[in-house]
Amino acid sequence: MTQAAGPAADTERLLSPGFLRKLEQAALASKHIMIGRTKGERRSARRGSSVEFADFRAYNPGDDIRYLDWNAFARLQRLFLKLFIEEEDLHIYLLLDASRSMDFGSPSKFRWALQAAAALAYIALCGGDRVQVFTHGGGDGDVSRLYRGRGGAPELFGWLTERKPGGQTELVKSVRVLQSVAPAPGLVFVISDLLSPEWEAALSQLAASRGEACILQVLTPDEFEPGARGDLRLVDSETEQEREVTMGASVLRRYERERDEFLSAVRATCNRYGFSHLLSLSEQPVEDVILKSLRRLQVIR
Amino acid sequence: MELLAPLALIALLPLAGAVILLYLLKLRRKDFVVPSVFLWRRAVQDVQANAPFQKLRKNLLLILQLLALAALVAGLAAPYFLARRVGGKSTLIVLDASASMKATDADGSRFAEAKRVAEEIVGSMGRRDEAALLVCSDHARLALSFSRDRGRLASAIREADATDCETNVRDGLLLAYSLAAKRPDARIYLISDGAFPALPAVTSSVELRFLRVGSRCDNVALLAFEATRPPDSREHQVFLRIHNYSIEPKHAVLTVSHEENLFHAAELDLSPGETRSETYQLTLEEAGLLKAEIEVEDDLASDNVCYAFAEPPDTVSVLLVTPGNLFLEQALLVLPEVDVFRTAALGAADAQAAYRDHDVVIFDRVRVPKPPETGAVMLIGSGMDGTAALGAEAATPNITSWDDQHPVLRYVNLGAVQIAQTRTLSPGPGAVVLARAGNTPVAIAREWAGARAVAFGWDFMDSDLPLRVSFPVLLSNAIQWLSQSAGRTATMRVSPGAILHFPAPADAERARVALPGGRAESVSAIEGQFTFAGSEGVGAYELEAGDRRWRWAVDLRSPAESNLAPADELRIGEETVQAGIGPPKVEQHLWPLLAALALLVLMGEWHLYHRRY
Repeated sequence: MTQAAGPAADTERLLSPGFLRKLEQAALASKHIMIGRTKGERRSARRGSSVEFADFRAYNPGDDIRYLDWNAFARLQRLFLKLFIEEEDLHIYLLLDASRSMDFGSPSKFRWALQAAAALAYIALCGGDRVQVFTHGGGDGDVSRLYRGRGGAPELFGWLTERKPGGQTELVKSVRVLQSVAPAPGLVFVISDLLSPEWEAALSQLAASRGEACILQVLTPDEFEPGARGDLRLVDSETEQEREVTMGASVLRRYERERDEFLSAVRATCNRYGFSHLLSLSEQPVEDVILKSLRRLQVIR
Repeated sequence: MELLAPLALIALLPLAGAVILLYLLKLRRKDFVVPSVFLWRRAVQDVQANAPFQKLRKNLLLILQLLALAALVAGLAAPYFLARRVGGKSTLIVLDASASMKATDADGSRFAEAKRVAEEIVGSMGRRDEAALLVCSDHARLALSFSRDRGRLASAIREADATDCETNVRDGLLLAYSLAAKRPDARIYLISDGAFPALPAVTSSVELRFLRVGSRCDNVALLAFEATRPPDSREHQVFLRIHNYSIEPKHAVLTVSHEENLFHAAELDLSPGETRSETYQLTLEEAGLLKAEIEVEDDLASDNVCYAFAEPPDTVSVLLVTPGNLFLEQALLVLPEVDVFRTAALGAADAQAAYRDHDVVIFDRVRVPKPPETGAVMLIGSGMDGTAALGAEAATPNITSWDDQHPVLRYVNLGAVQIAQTRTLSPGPGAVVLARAGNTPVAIAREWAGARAVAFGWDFMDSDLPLRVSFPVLLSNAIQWLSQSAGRTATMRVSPGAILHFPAPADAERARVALPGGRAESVSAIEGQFTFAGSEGVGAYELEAGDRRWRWAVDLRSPAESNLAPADELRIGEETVQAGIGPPKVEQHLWPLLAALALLVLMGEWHLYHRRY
């Protein structure tokens, strides 16, 4: 539940014990019913062995005769098989943006993303779901192993804290990696600033898999409202592209218009694909965002 | 527009270079790393789409800075232009209103031109400047004291009028200097044609500017006109002198008339600068006004007419009451047309008859038994109460001043007369002091209702006066003046601007003065006499009060006024003031304007800079 103790434990601790306790109460809500891999606590699309009745079907030879409905046979002289809802576990995929653009803000967006990822993973692990984390940026990105059960949390937290931001945002590529590596469709959390021209392509790629997704978009306050003034040469931290700009009222007005258009486009695209979307500033406490904002979006129960 | 320090403009080059260099340095942008330029791309794309405008806006600051710099450097070069503006804060405008200013060589007349110049000076006054107006004819008159009210100044200038008088610029300038002395930043503008003699030196730091009006000298003038009758002759000799001041030959028609009756006309051709004298014989049956007039095309009309009065032959009866005075008797006997009667004493009872029977009664060292009601008396070394009461004795007095304008003392020089002793005289009401020794009157003339008196405080035998040339002249003048006392029309010729006094008859409160041109004026008697100061125009005048009449004629006869040549300079003592033409010009400096412009541009630049960031 907690990370390795030590002198640096407090600074490096992703989540406070109090927050972890609150997270234990929460559960991830999946809108769709999906097929899992092992028996879990979630209703599966498969018919299975839970106590919850789902349907009847005609008996075929070879079926387990334990599930025959004898009462129906007595009335109708025909064999019917009772089908029950199968309860299986859910795959939770966390797509974490570890590009250099996340290393801005105080606390940085990346730190915020790590905390959010840890919190979501902890909820999932407590709910008996499988969790796998994908990061992109810094080469091909990393993929964690598949974790299941509360016991995997410390290791996952350790794995998360070892991630360092760097490289370029490659959202589409990392979605493709996720789709190829993921053993089964599941709930995908994308934690990113989406500040890349390929954000739309990535969301559309994500929608191609039948999975459900929640987009946690994080921006620094400075990205939301730039505070720099004067004649500047803006240098992109990832691509090192340059833009010369004289920061005046008119340029700022144009930037704000551009920002609003960008955010509403993201929101519209998410709605189109049925994704949940939540915008947060990196200075907002992760605890509030997870427990209040996501609960309001009914991503968390 | 001219520059006081044109070299300052050279500073523009390095300074402008420095500004441009600083501008280029300033534009070096600061690198600023942002997470992503993704959102900036389009924001900046918009800007880049408007790149020419953006460039212009960028350059606008530079242009404004260069403009401010240019304004400052131009201010350092001290540009100025000559503007028609009043130089001093206090301005004294001295208008010459003499006869020569009536010359018509300027637009309208020289005086109208002078008024226009004065109005322009007033019009170019600053809001806090003040001006005063002095009008000089034969005397200086303060038409308007220092005032900032341009309307009052303009109307004072409009009301000023040229006269036919001779110029007395000296008094005008002295008055102007004394008025200006109390003002720290005063300047005097004399607007004149400069037709007056050199002025005495003035010790004053006040600046005088001479603004000349008039452009040419085109004038023919009558300078002299007399009608005299030799004693015992019935014929008058008329003498007149005409001068052509023009640089061109002139053709003139001369007419001489007696009381509107033309008796002589002649055509004259006058070469440039020529003086023509003419004499005529003329037989007149009665007294009257003689008028000589020339018809000629010239610029000044005032000097084209002259007047003279002709006296008809008449004998004056003189009664000499004296214990014996050989000099006086002989002098009287020599006078033409004078009948002299002599007696040693005159009783009070006989006095009235004597006044009635004789035109003049002379009391030589004899007490006057009774003052005359009508008639004329001459008192030598004797007094008469009410007219010339005898006062204290004074030994060896020197006569320091005498009135040579008075008919009695005309052509008489009393300056060298030695007197052993005299009695001082106290003048009665309306009396005129003819001569003074120091401050005490020693000779008096008095005229009252129907009577005239001339009194001398000293005995002629106690002085060397009878041995002098002036003596017969004095007697002749005195007898002539005294004999006009009653029953006759007094006539005289005066210069323009003369102030005339007339004794008011007992029953006359008001007198009517007929002016030249048919107009008339009314004069009230003050302390028994009429005072008339309106003889400023050339022409014949007549004052009528009760049964008495006075006639006089005014003409110019002034070579100084008739010579219309405009002066190029004004001589004041040893100094000369060059003539300026038209209203004065002063240097109008532009640097405050340029400094203000630079400040304004800098403020605009500052505002623009802050609006952008």
